[in-house]
Amino acid sequence: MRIFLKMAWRNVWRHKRRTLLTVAAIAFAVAISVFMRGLQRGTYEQMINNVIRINTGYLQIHKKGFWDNKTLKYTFKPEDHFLEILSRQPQITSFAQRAEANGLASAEENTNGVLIIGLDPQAEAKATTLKEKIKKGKFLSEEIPQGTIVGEELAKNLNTDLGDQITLLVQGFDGSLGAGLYSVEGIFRTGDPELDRSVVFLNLKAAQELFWLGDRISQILIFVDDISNLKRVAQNLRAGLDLKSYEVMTWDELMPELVQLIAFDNASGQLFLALLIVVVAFGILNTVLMNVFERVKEFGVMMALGMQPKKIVGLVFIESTLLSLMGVVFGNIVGFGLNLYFLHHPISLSESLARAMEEFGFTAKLFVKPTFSTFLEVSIAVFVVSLIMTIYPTIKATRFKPVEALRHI
Amino acid sequence: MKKIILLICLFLIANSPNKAFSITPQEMVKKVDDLLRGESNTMTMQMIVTTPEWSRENIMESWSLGTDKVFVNILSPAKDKDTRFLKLEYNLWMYIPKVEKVIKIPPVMMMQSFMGSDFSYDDMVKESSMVKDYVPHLVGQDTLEQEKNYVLELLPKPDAPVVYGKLKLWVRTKDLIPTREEFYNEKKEIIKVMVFKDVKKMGDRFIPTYWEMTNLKKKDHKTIIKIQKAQFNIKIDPSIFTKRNLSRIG
Amino acid sequence: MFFKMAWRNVWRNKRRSWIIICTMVVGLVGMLFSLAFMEGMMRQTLANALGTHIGHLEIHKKGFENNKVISLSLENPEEVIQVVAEEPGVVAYSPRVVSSGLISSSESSSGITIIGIDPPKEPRVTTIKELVVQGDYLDENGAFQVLIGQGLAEKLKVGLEDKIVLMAQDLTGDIGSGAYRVKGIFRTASPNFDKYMVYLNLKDSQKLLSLGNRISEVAITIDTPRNPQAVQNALLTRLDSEEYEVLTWKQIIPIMVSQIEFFDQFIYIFFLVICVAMGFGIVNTLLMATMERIREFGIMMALGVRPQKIFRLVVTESVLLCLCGTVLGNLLSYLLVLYVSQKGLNLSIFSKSLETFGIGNFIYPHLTISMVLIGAVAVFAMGILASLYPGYKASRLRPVEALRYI
Repeated sequence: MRIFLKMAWRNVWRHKRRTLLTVAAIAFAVAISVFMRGLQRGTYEQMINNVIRINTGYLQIHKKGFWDNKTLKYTFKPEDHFLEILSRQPQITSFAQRAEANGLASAEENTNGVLIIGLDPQAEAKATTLKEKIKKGKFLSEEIPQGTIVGEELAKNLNTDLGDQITLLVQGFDGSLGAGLYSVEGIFRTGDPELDRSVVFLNLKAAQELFWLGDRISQILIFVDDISNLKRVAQNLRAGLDLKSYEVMTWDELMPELVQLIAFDNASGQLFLALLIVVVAFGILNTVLMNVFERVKEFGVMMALGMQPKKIVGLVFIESTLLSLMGVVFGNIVGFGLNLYFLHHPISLSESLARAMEEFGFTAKLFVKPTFSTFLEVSIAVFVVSLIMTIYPTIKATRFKPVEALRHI
Repeated sequence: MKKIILLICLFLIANSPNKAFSITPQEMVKKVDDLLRGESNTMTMQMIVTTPEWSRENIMESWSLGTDKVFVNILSPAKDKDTRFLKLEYNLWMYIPKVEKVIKIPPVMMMQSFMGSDFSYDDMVKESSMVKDYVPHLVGQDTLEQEKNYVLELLPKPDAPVVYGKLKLWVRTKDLIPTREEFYNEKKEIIKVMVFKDVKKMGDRFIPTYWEMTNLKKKDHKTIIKIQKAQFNIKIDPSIFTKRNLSRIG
Repeated sequence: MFFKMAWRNVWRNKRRSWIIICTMVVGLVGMLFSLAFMEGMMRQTLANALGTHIGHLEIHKKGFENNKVISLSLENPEEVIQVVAEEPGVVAYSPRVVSSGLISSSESSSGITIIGIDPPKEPRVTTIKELVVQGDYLDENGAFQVLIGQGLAEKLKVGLEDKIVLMAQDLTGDIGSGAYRVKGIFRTASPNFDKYMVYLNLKDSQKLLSLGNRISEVAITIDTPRNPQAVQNALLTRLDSEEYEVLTWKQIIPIMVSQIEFFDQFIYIFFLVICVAMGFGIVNTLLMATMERIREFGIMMALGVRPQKIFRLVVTESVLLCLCGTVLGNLLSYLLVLYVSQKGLNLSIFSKSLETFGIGNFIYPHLTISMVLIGAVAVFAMGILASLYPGYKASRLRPVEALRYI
């Protein structure tokens, strides 16, 4: 066995340039794949983070049935043991309470249907990015209890601006009419047309008053340190709460459209990688094929000297394995390096693209997120494919009879 | 001999005190619809709403002129006091005392419940819906609370903008006062039931003074209206039915 | 003479040549297919975004896009429609009424957007007709029929033939209402769309909203969707810009524009990557092929052939191989794209979660002439570049050493 390895190794390096090129091809495929997957994952995470940091949170806790029927009927009092459970999870970085209801907003002559959301300004400043989306004026604060911030589109439709007063009208929790006057303290723009066109935010206490909710709330938005910890946190929370009364939902359950977008992009990314691997694989196939045919005489000699054909197959196979291994390892190193570099220096987008992204509330940079599984799946895929590609040539090589082989030019 | 008995029977039947046989189902429905309205009326009523989560009581007074004009003023409890509604034809305005504003109720709010009850704002403004939008048929008789009732089935006219598939109405045979109304969806499932009780004389007529609406699709949702005072066909100042009256002080 | 020699050399060793051609073909097919795929994906995404509702251009009363109130309706629809119909770039148009409103069933009600459409005209602009999954699309002269989304049907607990009531603020400020029957239930790729959009016949909507013969907008499809500005400008020369607004899809959903720009940038990168991958294969095989023939070159040089000629020979052979490779590669790519675009590529084989979203995950690859040209140029460039080094090496051989080469 050791002889074989030695032989294989020496055979491989007999043609340095050729070997290096083949190894380079494999390494290239691996490096690009690993880098691209890292980039893709990074982009998805960024997208998810951007979107859910505005208004959704990574997880939410509500009264059971709330998500399908967002009325004040499905509100709850946040009991003490809630907050205790939340603070016991180390992966939870922050959480924010909210209360929401559908109602009417009226200013002067115009009346629009709106979603009224009450939030806790201090908690939100730590958790969501809403505060950064204020384009005019300022965010909510507890010092101005009757303040409100409205979306840019809505402000236009209602014909209001900073300092104006708007009337909000809702059907309260106990069926009675809730109404109040609020001063426009800020105008926001999130890039999400739904939000900008039909949402107003109030202080949580003001909203609870308006809705006649007392100290009940509609939802708790929860943020974690890393999205990969999500499942575990969700599990822990579900274990600690009465699931007959409450529901714990993760962002993918809350925003299936975002999930679809990502799955779609992911799938096309995988297709592209498959294509890449096919192209490289054929390159390897042809290289090995030529290599084998070049050595027909050599094989002929070996067979004439008594070596069994299957041992020749074995030899070629080991050579290919060595090549593939080298390529994969090298590719991983380069890929890892690329990922590492871009991890600390995110790619900045071109001018026009950057501006466009910021319009929609995205940051104009591309991030990478290398994970162990990325390296693993790419390596295995490339390795397996390149090995498969060597089978045909080797089998061909052993079909030669020694006499013909020796005469082969 | 047989012939004479037959003749006497026929004679008796023809002159039976059951006058209602000469009234068509359409006229019956019109009478019911008209009973609680008259040419004009004023009423004071108590509305009690119960749900599994809460229950409330409101006292309100209302004025009505013809089929087009209605004005409602909430008297109690304090948090709802001075909330007022004005209906002119098919439009509804509301005055909110807390912010001193008048708001026209837009379509999105029309189907919302009035003060949390099992009646919607739309129910309030739909005048003579029973008469305009449905075709009634007499389907039989029934006994309710030891009283004989006619049972009418009302099917909506094809173009009528009503969500129900069918209504059933029970009226007392002796005075055509309604005792029960059932609301069905198109799959002929029963959605709501309204029961009328406690017939008393108010003003110039007898009316049921206790109305109870139960929503069968929402568990334990009930609205009870008790008429405390009512007067019919009296003179009412038309300036009551103006927007200015909505926002008056006191 | 030269070419004849080169050609004969190429085919003297069929196996070798075929291997090289094969490498080129696979590389080219891979490249063209991924380009076609990307292009198809982009077109698909755009078509989905525009085809469900927006079309390529919309004409409204000025100010309507930002404030969709019924008072901002088009009083002279005939004038607008005439201008649109006469515009050469326009493929189809659909007049519509748009208003917010309320839909109610006996069980529930929901705020929605009412869209009055002209049943024969609308399918030429949007795909709503094909998206009906239960029941049927609206009849041309049907009255009191509505199409609602699946999500809405579930919320209202209604099905086909059930009655619903629509309520909206009409032109006079009063509330108009009417009863309609569910003719069909549709399902788009967007659950949100399914919950908020309700379609009815244009005439019915005009009656409901007391509009007379006014409409809210005209939606238009054109033959150059990626560049709608030309038609936009043409229309604006004939429509008073004080009274009307003519918007392109780029202005209506600007986020699509950045998505496409993003795409374009990535296409370049993908193309480069596959190019390089292909390059490795070509360089390696060409090198090996040339090295195989060192003795042959040695003999030629010993017989007096000059080094430059050897160099030119190697390069020419490479060019010929590229030619074969390109022709064959293009043919295969074309056939492959043709085949796949018939059925569409179902991406759910790559992603489990896409199976739950039935619609919108089929991609139809699309090949353009420019792609073919770019591919051919790439292969040629690769082939020629790859042959330069071996050609050089070959010409530098010392006949004596070459002859002794094993």
